[in-house]
Amino acid sequence: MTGLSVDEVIDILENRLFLLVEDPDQDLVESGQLDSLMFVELLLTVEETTGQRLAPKDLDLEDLRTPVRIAKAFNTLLHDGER
Amino acid sequence: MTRPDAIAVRDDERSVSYEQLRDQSNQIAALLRARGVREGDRVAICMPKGALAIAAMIASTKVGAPYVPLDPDSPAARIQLILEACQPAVVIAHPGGENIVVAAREANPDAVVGTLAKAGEVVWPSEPAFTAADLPGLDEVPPLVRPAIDGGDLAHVLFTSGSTGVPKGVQITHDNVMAYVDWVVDHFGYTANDQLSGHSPLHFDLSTMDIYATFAAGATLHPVSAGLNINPVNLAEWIRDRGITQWFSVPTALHHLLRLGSLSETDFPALRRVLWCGEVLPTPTLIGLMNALPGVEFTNLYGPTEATIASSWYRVPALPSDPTAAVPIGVACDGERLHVLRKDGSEAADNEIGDLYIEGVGLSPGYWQDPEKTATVFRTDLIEGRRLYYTGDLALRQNDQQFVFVGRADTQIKSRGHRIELGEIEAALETVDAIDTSAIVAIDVAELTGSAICAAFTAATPQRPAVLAKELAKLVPRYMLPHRWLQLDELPTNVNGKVDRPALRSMFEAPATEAKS
Repeated sequence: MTGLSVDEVIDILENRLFLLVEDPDQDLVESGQLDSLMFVELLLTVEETTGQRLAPKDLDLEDLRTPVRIAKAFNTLLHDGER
Repeated sequence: MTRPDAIAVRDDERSVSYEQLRDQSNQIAALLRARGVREGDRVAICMPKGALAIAAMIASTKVGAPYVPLDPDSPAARIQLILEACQPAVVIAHPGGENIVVAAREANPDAVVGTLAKAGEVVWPSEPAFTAADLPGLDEVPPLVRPAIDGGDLAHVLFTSGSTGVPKGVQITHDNVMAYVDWVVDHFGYTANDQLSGHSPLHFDLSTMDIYATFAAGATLHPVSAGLNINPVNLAEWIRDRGITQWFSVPTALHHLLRLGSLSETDFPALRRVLWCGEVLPTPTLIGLMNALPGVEFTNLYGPTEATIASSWYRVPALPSDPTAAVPIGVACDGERLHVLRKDGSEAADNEIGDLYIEGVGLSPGYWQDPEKTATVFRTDLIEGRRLYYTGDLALRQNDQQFVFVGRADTQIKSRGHRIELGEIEAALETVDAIDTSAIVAIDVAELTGSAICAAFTAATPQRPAVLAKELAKLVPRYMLPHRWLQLDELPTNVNGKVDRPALRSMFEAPATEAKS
């Protein structure tokens, strides 16, 4: 399983969840775009894209503020899921 | 008060005893009186869910003023519509609520907008009318005078999605609330040892049950914060750590808990009961939950805001054997009655689908300052001498006299755990400059408990849906934002020249790659 690149995360955010991403370091939580509803939809979309089930343990809002952080957080989850 | 030291509310920041809650609500009530709030005035409360917001609600009740809970995450434009409608004497906002302050000033330039936070925490563009520093000391609070109100007076007004684009206010009386709370505490046997979840936002009527049933039993309420709600795994751990004995929420939250919360690995030794209300819980999700949580009792509650929290109940007797069979909405709660009527007003036969009406103690007096809409759905002409609420739901009564929900007769949907009128989204989308024409439809998709909201539109130039979503989010809450967007050369029409919604739904139900922008 290859991980998710930042560009792939931005593509999911923009074209699947319709969040407006101008910058990989954009704070999506502060701009009000990423909330609990969107988080779950993001998680489900990543599962669908990667074909892997995720157990998002120890993941909180701080890990998901920006596309760069989201990519890092999901790559850790996807990596853990392979073990 | 038999146990003043018992914890009434335990939120993320603190535990508040019944005695402290009483004292704090008395202080806030004194402040409201000093600010001129009188019986029958409205107090708008726009604060994060927690002990302080609940104290403000109780304070409002103590001065005889119905409160109007507002969603702090709602866009200013929508908050403004609600404030324009209810014209509150006072708005209590959270210290970060710049959007609320702007909306309140637009709705009424003389609005009294204050906060219960410290002045240093306030980031508003104008000075708050009051802050925590204006709360009287406990020894300065004048003796509480019971307000000159009775059970038929309003306890609160809950604004819900309106089909014309303007939210409608459902008026709820003290009698409405107390009748339901009495039933639920007695029926489910709440005790002072219960630890109850507070999952629903305060502007939803499910939170009314969370708050007042907890207090009626002398139990402890644990509000679920927005931050906690973001990750089902953390939420599952919280349920275990807090020793929650009863969970009550919309099915969406349960679906997420089952799907992502690693429930099979999590032990909830204290949990005795799971209740849900507000939308359909898919039977496969129920089966998954029952398998993951053996020994827990599962009960479906059904009812619209207009009939106060819930009007019927169905306790799941055993693991459903057929995952394709809907979970019944059951039988009426005490003091309520369900009717399935034909179009001519006659009672439908068993197993015959008809319009679902509710009669009984939970029925709201009607919509805030909207007698026309009230008369349309609160009907006194169908069964002589009786007042019935037309739910807009289609239902049938089985041979065993259990009622089953089968769908909607209009365009109201449930999505992301919220009740939404598609007309409200459509009205907002029509004001977005880049869009020429648009239509909103809803479809069912496998991964969601409710419906997926789908927006079709025409525009002179190609549009980025994410940009449109950002514009739309200035007008409607995020839970109303479309799941799917589709730009077309023209909207399909039927023989009458109207938008062909079934055709649109088919377009969105096509493989996902074809239905994206």
